[in-house]
Amino acid sequence: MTLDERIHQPTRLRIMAALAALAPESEIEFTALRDLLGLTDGNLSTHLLRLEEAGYIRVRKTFVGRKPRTFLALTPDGRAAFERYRAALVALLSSQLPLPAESSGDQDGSDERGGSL
Amino acid sequence: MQRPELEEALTTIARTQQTVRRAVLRWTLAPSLAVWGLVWLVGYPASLVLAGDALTLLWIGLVTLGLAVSFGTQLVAARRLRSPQGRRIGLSWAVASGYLVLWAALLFPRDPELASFVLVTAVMAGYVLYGIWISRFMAVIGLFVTAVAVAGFLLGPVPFALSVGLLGGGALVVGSLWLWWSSRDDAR
Repeated sequence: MTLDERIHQPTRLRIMAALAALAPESEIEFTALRDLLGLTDGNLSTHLLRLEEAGYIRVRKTFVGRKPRTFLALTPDGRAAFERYRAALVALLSSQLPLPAESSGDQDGSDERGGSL
Repeated sequence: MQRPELEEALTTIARTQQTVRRAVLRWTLAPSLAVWGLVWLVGYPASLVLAGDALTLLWIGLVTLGLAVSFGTQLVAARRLRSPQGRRIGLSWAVASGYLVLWAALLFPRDPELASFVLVTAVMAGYVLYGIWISRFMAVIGLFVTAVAVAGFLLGPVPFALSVGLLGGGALVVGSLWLWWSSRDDAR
């Protein structure tokens, strides 16, 4: 049973959960997501970059009127990865097996390895 | 990795997704609900004291206001949220609204109360369908206002105007306020 550490990091988990709450193919604007999650521009950008590198999100830059806007969406791979992650959480919690005392992984956002339990 | 951390992750997912869903409802629906609630609060009771051209002009003004705010709400929401299904959903609503206006226009000269009843219950059927697919909150409002409209219609013109205006319109306004209130602490 594995947990995807690219998702498990707390801020990235919130980003993925937020995007997964939208209908498939739906996009949310960068500042709207930033405000909903209470993040700074820099913090959100950093984590978005890592999720984009993983192929989990799509970043689309466009203009609304004359203003540049950035829209974000989960990719199909990202949605599937998020569902696998959530299923793994539920499975781990519902099992009565003791959990290995492994590192909790990327709490500071510096570790991109795929972790396992 | 400890069990509390896993539980916290699941809690984070649930809390975040609730925040997003409430925000989407607030962005896409709250202003429209409030304005249509006010339209009903003013229009239906006014139907009891006004008649003829004055009443027609009042309703034209109120409905124009409601449509303008609904359209504006979707434009503003589109700055934050975009969906490939959005245009098709909007077009579907426009087609359904066109048919409703057609039925109301045909029915109104013969039976104004029946025309209003058809309009109100058809719109509420849309709310219930929206509730089934997207948010139970809308289904609750739709079912409540439908019950109010049916009861008022069975009791007669005055109870109908008062019940739909005050209870139905009030429910829409309260629903809008609830959307704002329930999501006011979500942003951190």
